Amino acid sequence: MSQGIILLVEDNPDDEALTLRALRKNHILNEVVVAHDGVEALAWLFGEGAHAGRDVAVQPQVVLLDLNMPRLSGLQVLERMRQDPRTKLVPVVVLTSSKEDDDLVKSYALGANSYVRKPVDFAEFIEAVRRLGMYWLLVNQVAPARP
Amino acid sequence: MLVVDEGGRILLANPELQRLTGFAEAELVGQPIELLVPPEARTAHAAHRDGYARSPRARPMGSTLELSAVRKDGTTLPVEIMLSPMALGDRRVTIAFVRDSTEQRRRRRELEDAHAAAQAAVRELEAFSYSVAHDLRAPLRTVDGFAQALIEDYGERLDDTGRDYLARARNAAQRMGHLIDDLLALARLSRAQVAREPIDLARFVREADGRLRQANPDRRVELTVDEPLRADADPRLIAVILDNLLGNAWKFSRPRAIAHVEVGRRGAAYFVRDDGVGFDPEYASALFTPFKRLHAAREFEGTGIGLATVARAIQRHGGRIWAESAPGAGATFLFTLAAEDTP
Repeated sequence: MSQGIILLVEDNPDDEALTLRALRKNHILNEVVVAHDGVEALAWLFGEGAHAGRDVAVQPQVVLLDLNMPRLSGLQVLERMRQDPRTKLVPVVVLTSSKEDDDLVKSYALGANSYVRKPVDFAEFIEAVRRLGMYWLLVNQVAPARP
Repeated sequence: MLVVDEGGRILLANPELQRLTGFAEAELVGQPIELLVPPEARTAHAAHRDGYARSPRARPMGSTLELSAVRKDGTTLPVEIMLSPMALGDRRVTIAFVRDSTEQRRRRRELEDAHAAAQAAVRELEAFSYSVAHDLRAPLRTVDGFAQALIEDYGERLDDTGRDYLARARNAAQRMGHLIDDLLALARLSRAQVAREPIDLARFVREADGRLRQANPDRRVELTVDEPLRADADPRLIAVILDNLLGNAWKFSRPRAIAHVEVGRRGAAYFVRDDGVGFDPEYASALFTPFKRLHAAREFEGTGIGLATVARAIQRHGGRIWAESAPGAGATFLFTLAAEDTP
């Protein structure tokens, strides 16, 4: 799983661009799959709808999950993930707009593993990844190219 | 007015009581007092009366009990009753003063309704400001995030003026972020329940002081704390209060080579004193209003919400806050944590 996929669930295109840039700037070269809302995220995770036929044995190394999304919210996605044996153990890092977000408490109650402030605060992201024991799988897995 | 004997029989009923109940004097005297009690409460009342007869005590008017009397025609009448036991020769009797409380109850209901409506409006407003504050953060993140991306990725292609413009844009975005955070904190505080417990304010003072020392390693500030500073207060709110007051004391004493901060007690009040720049007492009333600042932002940074938050946290305890100062003479903030008389 050295090429673990990162699933980014984010509906705001600006936050998406900033998060992708933050990952790139920090030499995280894993494949990033972007789902633009909760429905799309679940479709990808469970190989349904537009993603029918996807090999669902392949689950992401980590899910970066925004909470405030149209259609299906992040909390609902989290709940569904924790109910399904295929995604029950996939690490989920919640993206919050503030540390004191009420939703943060609910996220932990539903089985979130960690949180990171938006746009992905890198010190926090590294710390979250470290806590999840995935540090070497994600961070600096390829030495930065030197000119 | 009624006089009732130990057995609960009516001995006397004055004309006003006859008017209130519609019974004639002869229909009342000699009857058990339960005649005037609504049927559903009669059994309980008789038991209650036996208990009262064993240990009679005065009961003042206006206790919150909502009592009812029943009239001759069967209608009920909301009443307030004051009981006063006394000896009449060798008999122990009870004088009952009965007052029609229809009007009081109507007014109280109106007051309660108005209060409930006001509270609902406040909650709605807070929920609204909470969601607005949250929604304001998203575009702000975008502004700050891309300004940062520009500086990092394209900074070399800009001259100093260009980089300065971007730095200003970022500063403003971050300042607005702080404003929103502070507003959220203020809104949260208004909703928080106050959970009092015995605490030592000195511990919170030392913790806040430790954080300030860490954040300002180049400052020299001497702290004096009266220990212990006991209080019965909500520890989370106390932390907010003391963090803000000490933070201000440090901030506004910055021009001093060696500043002095003192925390202690004066009468029923606690105080935080500094020897900083102080403020003009003429404007003291504006201190606790959100967004009101008495100093230029270029001189002392801040959002103007800190003291409003402190005032709210103190109000939640039923206390009050006030300040004493003169320009250049330092400032003293005094506060109480209970609704007692303050100097």
